[in-house]
Amino acid sequence: MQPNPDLSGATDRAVVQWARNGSEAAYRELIRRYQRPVFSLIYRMVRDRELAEDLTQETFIKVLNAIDRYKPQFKFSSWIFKIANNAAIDQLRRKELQTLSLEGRPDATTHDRIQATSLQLGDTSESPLEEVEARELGSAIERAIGRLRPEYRACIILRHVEGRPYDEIARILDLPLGTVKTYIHRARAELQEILAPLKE
Amino acid sequence: MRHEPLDPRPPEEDPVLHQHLVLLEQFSPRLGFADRVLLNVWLPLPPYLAGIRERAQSLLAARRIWLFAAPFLVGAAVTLVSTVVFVATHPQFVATAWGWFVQHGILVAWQAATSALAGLLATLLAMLGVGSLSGATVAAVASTAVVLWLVCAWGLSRTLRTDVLHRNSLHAQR
Repeated sequence: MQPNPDLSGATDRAVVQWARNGSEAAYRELIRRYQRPVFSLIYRMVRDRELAEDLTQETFIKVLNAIDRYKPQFKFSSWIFKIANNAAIDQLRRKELQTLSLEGRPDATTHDRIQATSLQLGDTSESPLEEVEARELGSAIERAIGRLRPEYRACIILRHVEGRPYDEIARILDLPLGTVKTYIHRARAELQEILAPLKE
Repeated sequence: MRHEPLDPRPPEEDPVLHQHLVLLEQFSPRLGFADRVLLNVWLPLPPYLAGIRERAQSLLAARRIWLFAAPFLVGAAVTLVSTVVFVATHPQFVATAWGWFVQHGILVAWQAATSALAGLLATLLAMLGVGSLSGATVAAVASTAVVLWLVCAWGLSRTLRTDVLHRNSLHAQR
């Protein structure tokens, strides 16, 4: 068996090839390269550290167990971000279904519980939990990103925080390029609007 | 470690907003994340081991291979057991043989080995009560055994060749 090359300087494609050949060091290198960007994306999407950790772990397990099915003509980063984003979006949808049910959560049996979990029309303020999470995330910009629609949020994080080009974001999110540009433009406008009072 | 953005910022974007976004922190999962992930990941075998495993699986999956492999395995097991029994019951002989081997080198060792085999055969024949049989009977049994081994060898080689051809045709179809 050939020895591993210098993995830290190798391209993603080369590292994936080594991983396919059964090199544990290559698996660790892929995790090392992407654990922070993937975790950051998911954390900013779901805004819950424990949940983000679980979803990040789930993403890596899914990706690494399917490494044989990875197509080298696409970027590895696109593939892993796509799976991470899907995991986050699925989670947000599930959460939305649970919290926005008109009749309250399915497991709510008492009157108080049904009221507590039922849809509060016109209530757009942050819950105490969300406030704590927002504080943990820190700055006003984080809070502003948290207020964006999930689609806008994913676009703006991938574009500005991860520095991904538009076409890659389109591939990751399965959206037309024009839609991605529109989302990013609108997201920026919303962020500027939210942050305007702070600039004054 | 600050993650470097891959794409330069387009000039039309709001520079203040960029500054804020670029300075955003990158979060890290808890320590030991890689270990927790790898606990749930199945690492593929290296190609050479995967090839051996695939070959072994395809051979074991072919039922008729056992028709030929079983006599070989039984023969090997009988030989092994007989050798162990012989060595255990003739320690003096083994010691002598080893001494000769050490003393006179390979030629002597070869002679010793053949004597050992002869001794083993004699012991086996004695154990089976073949000593009282006529020379013609022993010759007939030996010939039958040889024929059987040849048939098994032929069948085994055919099975292996058929399996290779089958696998090649499967690859061609893919």
